[in-house]
Order: sequence, then C-alpha cells, then structure tokens
Amino acid sequence: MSKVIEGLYYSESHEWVKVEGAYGYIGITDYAQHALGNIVYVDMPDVDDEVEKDAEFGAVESVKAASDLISPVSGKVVEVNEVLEDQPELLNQDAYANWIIKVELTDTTDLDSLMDAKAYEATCKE
Amino acid sequence: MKYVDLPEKMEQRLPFYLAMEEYVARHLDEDECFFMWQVEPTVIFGRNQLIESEVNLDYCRRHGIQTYRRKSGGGCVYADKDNIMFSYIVRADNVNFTFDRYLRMVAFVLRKLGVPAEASGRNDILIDGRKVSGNAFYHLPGKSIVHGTMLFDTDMEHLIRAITPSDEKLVSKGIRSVRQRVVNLREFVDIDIEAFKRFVREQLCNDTICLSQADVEGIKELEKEYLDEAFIYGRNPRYALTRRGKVPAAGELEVRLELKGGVVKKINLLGDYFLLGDLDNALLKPLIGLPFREEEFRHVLTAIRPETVVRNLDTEHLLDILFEH
Repeated sequence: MSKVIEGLYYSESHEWVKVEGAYGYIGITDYAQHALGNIVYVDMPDVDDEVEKDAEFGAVESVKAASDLISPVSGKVVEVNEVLEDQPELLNQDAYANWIIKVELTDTTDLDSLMDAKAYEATCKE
Repeated sequence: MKYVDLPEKMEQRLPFYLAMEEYVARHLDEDECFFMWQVEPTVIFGRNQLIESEVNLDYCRRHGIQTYRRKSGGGCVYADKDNIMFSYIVRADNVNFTFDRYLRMVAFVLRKLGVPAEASGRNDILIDGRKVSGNAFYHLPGKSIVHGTMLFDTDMEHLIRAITPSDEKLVSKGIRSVRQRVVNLREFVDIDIEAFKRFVREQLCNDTICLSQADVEGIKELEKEYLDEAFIYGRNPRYALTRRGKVPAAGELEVRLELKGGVVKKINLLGDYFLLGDLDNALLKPLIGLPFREEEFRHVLTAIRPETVVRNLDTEHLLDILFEH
C-alpha cells in the first residue's frame, strides 16, 4: 500500500506540492516511486527556468523506465535538489522527504485544482 | 489488442514513429495498441544518455547513420530496415508488471514459430543467451509505452560499430548502455520479414485502428520536438571533461569543464602558466553558458584575447587544447 501524507497537495500524475509562503516544493509520491522501481537518474531543470502547470519539467528514470515529471503548478525554479544528482535512490527511500525542485509560485489558485491527501489516496485505490 | 495503421504507406524517419507512439498514448482513448515500423539506419539513444559516451558519432556520420534521442529510458540501440521496431501503448502505470507482461507476450509469439526465445529480467528477449530484442519504457500520465527492437536480419557490423563509443573516458551521471551479445532472428526461422510481421500482427492483434490524415498532422506536430536539436543534444546529462595540452612558452595546461545539455556550467584552468590578468572574471566567466562548440568559443575568445590574461596563451592554442586538434 502506498503512503500518502497529510498537508500536501497532490496531482493526478502523482506529484506533490508542499507550500511554504510564496514557494512550493515539488516531488513525486510514494505511489509513483513504487510504480517506477529503482530510480537511477533524475533529470531536473535549471534554476531560473520557468515551469508551467500540467507541463513536463523533467524526468525520473528507473532501471526499467523513464517517466515524465509534470508540474502541478506554474512558477520559477529557485532551487533544485542537487543531492538527487548523486543519490537518486533517495526518492525510493522516502519520496516525501526528498523534494525535486523548489519554485516561486506564479499563481496560488493553481493549487485549487489539486487534491488533498484523502482525495489522492482514493484515486490510488481505483 | 488493436493494431494501429497509417492511412497510407509512407517512408518516415525514426522521430515520426516516436511521435506516433506518443500521439496514440495521448490522444487515442484505447487500452492497448500495437504497431511495427522500420527505418533507414539510425541510432537511438536513451532519454538521459550522454551521446558522446554511447554513440560513435564519427562512424555514424561517415556511414549516413542518423542519430536521435527518445523519451524512454535505457541504453542505445541501432535500427535499420531489417530490424523491426515494435511499439506497444497501454493504459497502465506499473512499470514492472507491464514490462514483464509485454516481454512474455512477445517471447510467446516467437516460441510459436519454434524459436527458443525467453524474456530476460533485463528488459530483453534472448535466444540461447543472446539478445534478439531490447526494450525500453516511457511512462507518461496514465499511459505507458514499451518499444523495442526485433533483430531480424540486421547489419551486425554497423550495429556494433555505431554504438561503440570512440571516447569512453567521459564521466557522466547519465545512463550507461549495457552491451550484450546479439543475434538475428533470421538464423532461427525460415520465413521472410514480411511473413514474420504478418504472423506477429495476427498473433497479437484482433482489430485495427486506422489513423486519419488529421492524426498524421498531429503526429508531425509532435515530431518537431524529437527533431529539435535542443531535444537531441540539449538533453545531454551533466558530465565532466578534461583537456590537456602544452602551449609553447605558456606551459602545460589542463582545462576542466563541466557540461550540461552541451552547455558549459563550470570551467577551470590549471597549470604552471603565468597570469597577467583576472583569470576568473576576464577569461573563465565569459565562457560559462556557452555551448561547447568551436565556433562559439572562437567568437568569444577572440574578443577576450586570452593572451592578455595568461601569458602566451592565444585563442588558437586554447582552441587546440579544448577541441583536441
């Protein structure tokens, strides 16, 4: 059973956002890391790149597959989690403790279309 | 499962078929689709691979072999008209389950022809321990694409030489190819390639979807991304490069570069040279953000005049070291 935690916003494509003030940390969910298997590479954007809600911003590659990363919000990348360059497997160990990018949110109403933990958990059971 | 047909027979380059898979995944409301295709000699490398450390670009250029990046993971493969490419598009998220199921299905079809084929744990189909089909996986929202090779009667010399890199010293965080012994199916079956394709289609599919001209236009729109140099080369993962050389009267020099997407992210100059100016600000910083290509470097270095920063190091000498003349 995949883990879902309270207090995050979730997308249908299995990304999460944690909001802190004007910023959002974006990562993949436990369901996503589990579906992908052992992660060996994370393709991240550069700082200052713009990400767009529902558009691809990178990829996660496991020993078996590459999967698009879809941004749940629009904004400007202010930080990327460089630790993942050397230790991509951290996403398997704890997908919620390891964010991928930090963005300055363009429009907080982007969050309205995302799910809370309870709604997301229900979609994973379908 | 449904076979996806184009409205008319057309000769296309490899990116068209990658775009076709993506189009089927994104725009067709189908659970399970399949199609086969063949292209002129082409090398296809994985989404997060460093081209220079996987492909012998020089060999490819000399033999007219095209090179493209795909969006699925894994290592690089060689395709030609005698290597049948299989594309499978399915509504699924779970990679292991979907991959296993597909490989078993294809191995089963080969066994029906009397070929002792088996799915391996490594995304391949093997005959007597040799690889006849290598497969890769691309997951996009709600759908999965599995595609792979079926070596029917491929030119093995081209195959091996095109995907054996000339420069294996490059250090990259990207994905490395796993090189294995390969074999052609032709050694095991008596039918020709068209009969083989018909057999596979009959075994896997019980229905057909015929794409319209409008679908083809949509595919061509998606194909643009795969043809874009920014996608083919700009997706190169971060890697480090060291160049060494001796410059008369300037001494032994070593340039250390870190590149991402083919662009300089870090650059450092080491050696027993004599400094005349501000190395970081006058010489190195202006090179950050430049594509690692001789023409761009020549342009910027000519304006900087490196000899004003490092004694006796002129533009031509520095270019000789950087681009290994």
